[in-house]
Amino acid sequence: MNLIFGHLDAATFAIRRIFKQPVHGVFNIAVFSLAITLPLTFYVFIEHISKYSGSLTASPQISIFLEKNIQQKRIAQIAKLLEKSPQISKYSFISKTEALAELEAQDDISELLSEMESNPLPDAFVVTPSSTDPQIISHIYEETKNLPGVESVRIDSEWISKLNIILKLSGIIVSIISILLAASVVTITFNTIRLQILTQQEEIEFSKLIGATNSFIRRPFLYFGAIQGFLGSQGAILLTTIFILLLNKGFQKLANFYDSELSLNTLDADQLILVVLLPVVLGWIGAWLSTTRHLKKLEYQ
Amino acid sequence: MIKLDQVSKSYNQDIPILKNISFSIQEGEMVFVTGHSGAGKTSLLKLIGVVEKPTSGAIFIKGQNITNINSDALPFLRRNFGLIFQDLKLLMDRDVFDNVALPLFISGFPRAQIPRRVRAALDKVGLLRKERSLPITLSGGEQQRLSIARAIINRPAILLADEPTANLDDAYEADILEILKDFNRVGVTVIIATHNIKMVKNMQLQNISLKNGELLK
Ligand SMILES: Nc1ncnc2c1ncn2[C@@H]1O[C@H](COP(=O)(O)OP(=O)(O)O)[C@@H](O)[C@H]1O
Ligand SMILES: [Mg+2]
Repeated sequence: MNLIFGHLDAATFAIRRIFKQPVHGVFNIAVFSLAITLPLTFYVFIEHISKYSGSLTASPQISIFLEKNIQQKRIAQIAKLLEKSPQISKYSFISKTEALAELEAQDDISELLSEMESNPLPDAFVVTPSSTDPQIISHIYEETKNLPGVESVRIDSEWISKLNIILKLSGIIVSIISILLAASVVTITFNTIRLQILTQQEEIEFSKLIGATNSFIRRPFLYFGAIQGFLGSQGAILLTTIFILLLNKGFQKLANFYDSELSLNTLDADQLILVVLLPVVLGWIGAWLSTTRHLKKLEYQ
Repeated sequence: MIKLDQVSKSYNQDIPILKNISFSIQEGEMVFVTGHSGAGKTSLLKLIGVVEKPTSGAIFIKGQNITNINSDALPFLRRNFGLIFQDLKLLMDRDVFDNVALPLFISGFPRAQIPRRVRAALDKVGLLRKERSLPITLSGGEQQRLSIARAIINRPAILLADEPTANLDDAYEADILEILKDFNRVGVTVIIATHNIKMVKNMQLQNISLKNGELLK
């Protein structure tokens, strides 16, 4: 019962402390919000860019080249397999005569071709995957290359490596941002608590001398850090949402131009939970570090 | 109850402030620590009250050597003491009531009984009508009595009073001593540091006399 009271006391004490200096408190929380908002907006931005980068570039195509003397029956079997695969959204058959005709339409090589006795080109399927996910693309590649009657499979490999680089890079950037965000929340809390401790040095010192435990002294500061983290995260959610909506307005024109759907989602449920929980936990940690450092100086020695 | 064995203290490695002090105090005794200003009275009280750690020697409280106490047990050891500091250490941003209630919050005293306990203590030192005043508005004697109320609120086994009558008129001095004697009568071990020899002579109690950090016999 007393333990619960102890925590209630500490929490109300922390809240009262915020309202005791409302201007200072609001300013702190605003700084806090901004520190979270900037990286957060960037994070949402990066995340969606990497998601949509696929649709900005043309979808990759996979060419399946068939053996020279393949039978019609075999071609039909392969077509049936492609038809059934859920990972393939579209496929078309280009016979060697069609391919030759297409080539001959281009002036510069038509002469060269006319000198050849037989058609050097193979029959082929051109396949469009259902998604731009590199894993799905490589899966299609693995599945088709060993089919009987298939000579070789070729992917627009440049596209793949581009996408991989984008994904890897955005992964790195998101990690860096997360670390920066965590560090800034801890640092800001550490400093606000340090200033608070300075104004209450005498009380803390006296309390220790008459038998206060370290956790008794820490508790209101921990609550202060957590509450400040919570309020800061609320501000950050509001600001981030506003930023995203503004950015979307700007993207509208770009999206029309590319004829693709480019718009950032506002924060989803997972992100919201993270954005609320993390600053609370990090605020708590910042406060813990700050009070612990001070309490070290007051040890009996 | 309290036993010092060859205790020395120096703040900065150089000159020792207290040198090889040994004595013991029985439970329920009332004892004076006397000596000129700078003799080491405050330092001695701080060593006994687990505020400062001796540089060498051992201090036993209720048979326990406190010089090597672990940090988890320290707060609970400290709750055996009521401390009246020479500089009072009142919290100036809290009123009289809250100053006296603080030790009760710290020791986890049952919530509902705090007001009654605080008012009883304030009544004892004659400050009941001032419970909502800030310490800054109190006279020197009232501040001194406030620090006494706060020191005894947790009913400590040992009361350490550092110059509790300094800067007070003789009439107030007798007042304060009478209050301290009352606590001693109900079994509290009381140690009073003072540079006022006259007061000690009148009371005929055990006297630990210091001179330049050494014990006079
Ligand atoms: N925290 C401290 N750091 C350094 N020297 C101190 C400290 N406290 C007291 N002293 C020195 O110790 C000596 C004894 O001081 P004190 O114990 O306060 O004596 P008294 O209370 O008898 O006047 C003095 O010379 C004083 O300057
Ligand atoms: Mg002194």
